[in-house]
Amino acid sequence: MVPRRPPGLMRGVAARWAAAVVGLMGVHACGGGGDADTGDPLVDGSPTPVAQDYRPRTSALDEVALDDFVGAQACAQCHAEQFGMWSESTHGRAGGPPGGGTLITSFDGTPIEFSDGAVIPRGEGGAYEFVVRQEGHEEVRYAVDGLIGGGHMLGGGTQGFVSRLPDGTVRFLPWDYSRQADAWFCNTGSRTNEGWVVIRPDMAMAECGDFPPVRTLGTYPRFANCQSCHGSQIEASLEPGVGVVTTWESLGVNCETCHGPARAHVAWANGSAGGSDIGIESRVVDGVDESLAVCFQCHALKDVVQEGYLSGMPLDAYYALKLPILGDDPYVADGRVGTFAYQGTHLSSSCYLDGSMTCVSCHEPHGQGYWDVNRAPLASEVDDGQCTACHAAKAVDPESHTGHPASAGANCVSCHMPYLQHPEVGDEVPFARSDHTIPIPRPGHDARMGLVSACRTCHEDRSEISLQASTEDMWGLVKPHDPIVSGILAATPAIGAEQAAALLLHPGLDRPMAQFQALARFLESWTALDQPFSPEARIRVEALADSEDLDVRSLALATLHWVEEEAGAGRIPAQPQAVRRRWAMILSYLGDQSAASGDGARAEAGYLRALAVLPEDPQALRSLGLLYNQSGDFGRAIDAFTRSLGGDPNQPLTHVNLGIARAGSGDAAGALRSYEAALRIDPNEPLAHFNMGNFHLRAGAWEQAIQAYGRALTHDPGLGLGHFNMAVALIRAERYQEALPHARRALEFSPDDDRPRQMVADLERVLGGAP
Amino acid sequence: MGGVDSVDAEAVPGAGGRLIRVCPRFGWVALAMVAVHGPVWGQSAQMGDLAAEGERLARELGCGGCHTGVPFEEGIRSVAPTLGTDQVPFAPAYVFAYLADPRAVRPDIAPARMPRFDLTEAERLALALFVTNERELQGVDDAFRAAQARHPDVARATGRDVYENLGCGSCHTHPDGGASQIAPDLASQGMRVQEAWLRDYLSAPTTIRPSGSEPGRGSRMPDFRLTPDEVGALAAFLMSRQEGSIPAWRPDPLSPFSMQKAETLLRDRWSCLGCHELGEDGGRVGPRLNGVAHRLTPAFVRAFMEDPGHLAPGTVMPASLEQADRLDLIASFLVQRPGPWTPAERIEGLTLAAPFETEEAGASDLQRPTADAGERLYQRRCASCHGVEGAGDGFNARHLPAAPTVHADAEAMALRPDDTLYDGIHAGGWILGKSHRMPAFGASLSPVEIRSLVAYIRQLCGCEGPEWSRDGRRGS
Repeated sequence: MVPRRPPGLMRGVAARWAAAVVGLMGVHACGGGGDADTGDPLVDGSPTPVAQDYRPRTSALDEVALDDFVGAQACAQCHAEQFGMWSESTHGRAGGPPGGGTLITSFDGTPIEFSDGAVIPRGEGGAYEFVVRQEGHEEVRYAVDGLIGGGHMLGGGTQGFVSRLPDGTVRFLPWDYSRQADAWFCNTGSRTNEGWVVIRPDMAMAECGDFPPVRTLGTYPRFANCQSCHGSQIEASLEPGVGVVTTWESLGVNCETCHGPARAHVAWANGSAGGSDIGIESRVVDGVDESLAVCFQCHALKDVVQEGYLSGMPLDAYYALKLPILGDDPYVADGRVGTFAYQGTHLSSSCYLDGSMTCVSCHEPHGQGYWDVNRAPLASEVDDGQCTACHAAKAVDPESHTGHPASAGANCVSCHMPYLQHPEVGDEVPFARSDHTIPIPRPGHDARMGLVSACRTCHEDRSEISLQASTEDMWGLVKPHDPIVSGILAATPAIGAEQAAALLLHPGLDRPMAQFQALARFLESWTALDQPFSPEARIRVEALADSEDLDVRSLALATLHWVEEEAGAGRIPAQPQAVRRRWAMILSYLGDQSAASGDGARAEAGYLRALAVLPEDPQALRSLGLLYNQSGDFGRAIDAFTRSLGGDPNQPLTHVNLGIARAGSGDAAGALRSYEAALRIDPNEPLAHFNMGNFHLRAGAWEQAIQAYGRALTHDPGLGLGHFNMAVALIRAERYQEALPHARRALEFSPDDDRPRQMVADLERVLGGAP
Repeated sequence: MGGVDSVDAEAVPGAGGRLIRVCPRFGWVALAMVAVHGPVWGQSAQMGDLAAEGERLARELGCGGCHTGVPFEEGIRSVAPTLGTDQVPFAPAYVFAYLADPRAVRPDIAPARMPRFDLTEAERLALALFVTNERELQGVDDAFRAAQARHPDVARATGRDVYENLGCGSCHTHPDGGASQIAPDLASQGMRVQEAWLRDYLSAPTTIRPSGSEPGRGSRMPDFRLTPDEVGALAAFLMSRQEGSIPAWRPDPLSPFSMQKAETLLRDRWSCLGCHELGEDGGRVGPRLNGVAHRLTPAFVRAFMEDPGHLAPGTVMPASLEQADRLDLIASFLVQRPGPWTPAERIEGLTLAAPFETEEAGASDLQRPTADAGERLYQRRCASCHGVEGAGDGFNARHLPAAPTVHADAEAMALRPDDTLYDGIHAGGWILGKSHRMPAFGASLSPVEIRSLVAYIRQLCGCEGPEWSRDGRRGS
């Protein structure tokens, strides 16, 4: 029932919010290990930069197409043994349709209680759903169309849920289940940013970062690392005129994820089955890095160098595993997990760096059991054979090495591969992964790194000091860190650039991960735009610029380019595209950092140098356009966005940004055309609808604005600013009753902001004090 | 069998011949053999006629002019060996051949004065029978037949004669004679090699192991210039011996893809080519792997890969740590790889390292690691690549894609913990991120032996591992 209110009051509310269409809150902000930031779209006269466009998976460079994949069942007949093992493996059971014992918790109707409502998981026999009952909002039901994960991981197994929404997109639902915690939890990234928290009755639904469901399976902007991995051949393609269409072969991890597309192989098997070209590659003959690349498709943190990766493509053409280190601390100084990094830590292990260890040295790949480096089966994940097949010297008299009587706590992995909770997750939901840097326990050092030492796994009652003393007593000196790690630990902010270079830059060592960490630190703390190097630093950076590692080389080249433009530019022609892409990304990153700190000139230099490396690079041009938009230089912004679209015309958000620039320059009609162009590519693009709404709102066309905001919120119900502006439009249209839920949503998503709070208060007052 | 002392065993009609020790003063080395064609022994009814013809010829040719024991009216001249007695040292076959070309039969002694009479084959045959033992010829024939009946496995016996008379046991080990480790153990040849290949090899021995059966010893199998019949007999004899047993195994039929996969594993992952050549790639320590299909039996290849020491005690080849399916794959590949067996290029002038006996002597009583024992092991197992003095300059080093570690390099070796050296010896170079062609000896050497090698390597470099690596130090 709509309460009747005195018209005067109503008008008063309308008047207050008449000119209040302003930017309030960030949306889609990065969080929870995410890599993307869709920016901070605003309304009205403050044109909104919108970064990180989505791009469909089509590229002239692709040699693999979705049609090349056939699915696991096609492998079963000929490879029955492997298929059988896989079917029972964690990969084979990593996800899929609900039911048949795949759910790790009961959907018996027991509500997940929030302070503002409840979510009720219910269903049986294969049909499951979440019913969302939230105060002040209509009931919403989300069918469970797929399970993500099977809760298999020993250090913390979880299960997520996806649902196909009415707009056709398949989205992650905000509530996950932890097998070890035996509880519902959610990721609070982008809201309260407290990591993964067990859902408590005092939590608001909006504290869950993905509420309402916004994260689309298979797309990059939010948590790019997860999207393609919890499933096989997940494809979110942007169909012009339709929007994002998500398809997948399986929500498990299937044969072709590791072996690459098998259609040619199946044709071979069904045909002549002759010749040495069987249409698929054997993993048996992979070298160390080739083998790792198969697993690092998913088991490593990485940045997207180029979108459109499909299994079978060269990983380093599409992903850079070390670039996430820039601007973040995914790894601590010795390579262990600092925030959230999966098993990419392996790249910092001595077993890899000084040996030849790959994932399949210990992990049997089909059944996910354990074997040793000679493929001799092992009993379990704690079997010493994983280590002693190589470290045979330690197997002769284990106790003389361990100093501990044989016990569960004296296994090799007890001390050298302890389970470490990924810090970014927080400590409520178990998400520990065994430490794949395979370190030596150093209780004192471990504590300084903010990590729990392996010793404390058993000796919980002892202090780090005490444990450190014991290790020194038992083992004397332990293996020192390599010089780069030592350098990172020693390079305090107080030292000068020359000394920092000597500590951090070691081009002669074959330690790419540490080299990247150290160089990134050097770049960010001891260099400045166009401030020449010290002689020593220059020599070392130049040497690193010849590294065989693509990431290290690219970072060194970008550093050189940033510090001494001509020295960097001179090296551009000799570098392959994989390096130039990374190089340009790094310079764009430096531009972004500069823009964020308000140094537009430095930001511009970063983008322009990125464009020198990759001429007409659509991404660098888009970044440049956003910078000009921010600084109000709309003419140059229009030019940059137009050029960006020239190279990559199917980017809806670039059209949106172009529209914002045009609006800023006073070309309202041009802006409208840009938003329409964006919607022709993706009719579901919420930010296009949102800015369209802003256009109508500015024009005083309330109803059209309301319709546009409605479409934006249909496709992104978590767009807080959209709710706020919708409320404004509804107020202007004097539809106060309808405005209130949107104002509440705006407040819900930005509880610390005064303006939605004031708006809610005003509306509640005029509507009669509704709660 | 008459008085022909060197033919005290059985001979085979139609199968070959009989051996005669023609030159006892040369011991086992200088031997010859003549063929005795089947009809001679197989048609005894003609023997008497032939012998009579022989006597007539002897008279006609005047053999008694030089030889005693043959009819000669004018007296006795003893300038040549006695003929026609019960103790004639020559077999008919030898005489048969000798008469055809006296110089060719005994080229290694002083020029013979025995003239060449340009006899027909029948004449030579008649003479040979006459002079060897005319009076007991029928008895010889009877004895031969009786022996043949008693010993149907005649080829073996004949081959054993070849083996004994060649003195094969001087270098080889064999149940019928010989226990030397100089050359490969022949006790299991029947399981090991293909007979056709063995015949070819015995006909014209070529180098199998470029550096010898013991690395560095050199390949010394002599060419005895055996006749085809000798070859056949010896080959049959050797093939008949199957000491021990190996599991039955049949190669998997491999697709071209699997063949390619196996070859890639061999070249890029396994250590085999550290010692063996495949194509033109690989080391020169062990036999070439080219044409294994022609040389070796499949079951032997498979069994040898798994446990070479069982089939060839003391071999330097380590037992594999790989799993059965991979061994099946590689063995199947080797025995199906197309192409003939080709001999290896012989490496001359090598320095002999420690022989097996020395290594065994050192290792047998090892209760704790010693550098001395390590040295013996090192010279035999490691020096081929790492060099006799650890300089990384073993004869095989130039055939490797990565230079062997210089164990004499104090600076470099001081960075390597003892345990790392141990691990590398045990598990191979691959696990240390070094050359995959460094084999894993963990299934062949005991921990004490490996520690001994480590101790010797420390002696070579005159250095210790890093201080931090001295594991187990307490209270320091």
